[in-house]
Amino acid sequence: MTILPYAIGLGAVLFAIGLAGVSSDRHFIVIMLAIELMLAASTILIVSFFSSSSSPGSIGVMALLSIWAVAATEVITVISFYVYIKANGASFDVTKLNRLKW
Amino acid sequence: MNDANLVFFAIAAFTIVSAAWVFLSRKLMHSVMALTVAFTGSASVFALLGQSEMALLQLFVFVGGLSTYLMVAVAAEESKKEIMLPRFAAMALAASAIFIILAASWGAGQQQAPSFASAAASAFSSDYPLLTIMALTLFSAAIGSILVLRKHIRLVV
Repeated sequence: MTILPYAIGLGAVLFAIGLAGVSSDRHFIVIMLAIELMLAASTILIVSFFSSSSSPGSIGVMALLSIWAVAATEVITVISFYVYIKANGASFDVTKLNRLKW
Repeated sequence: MNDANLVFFAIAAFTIVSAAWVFLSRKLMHSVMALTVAFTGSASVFALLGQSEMALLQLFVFVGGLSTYLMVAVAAEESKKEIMLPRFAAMALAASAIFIILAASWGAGQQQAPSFASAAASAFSSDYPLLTIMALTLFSAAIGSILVLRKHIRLVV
């Protein structure tokens, strides 16, 4: 028996954990970490389906590259928001971030 | 149940526990470290599926991102004395790194998976629009960050 069904299950479980983290935590950076976890779960699912296909073509690679690009973009966004929040003396509690413009 | 399944279940348990620890932990530094272990676990799964190149790329991309998070976590930590990892956590990180190398060399011989290299070659030769969109996404994120931070950047000469 191959590990493919288990790998798909692992991806689903990691995605669910990330979703729980996003919806339950209030710290800005922890929420971003949970989103990174959801992106990693997506990569597991993509690689699982890529490995299971007999003629995968380029779509799996393109999907994986897209997710890596989104993950890198998220890191850039987090570092800029961190500096901005610190510079304005605001809280990292997302329930208190109620203004879109300082 | 064969050995490959046992190795996979060990990696999966390790990954799920560390993923849950990301938001169960009360310290930001521990959350970042737990996420590092979770990413190492996901790269190990890639290796077990026979995709060693993807496993290495996953490590490189997410280690780059996580080093940024690590920097933020160190900067955000109130007490600088408590940012060091406990010894067992450092040993777990080292063990997971050894594990992925072993799993990569072993998993490559286990399965006849489609080649990442040939799929990537056809992607880079035919899918220019998607690659351009990805590059523009990263570029616009970098420009947007500079615009957000333009009042707070101090250049020291």
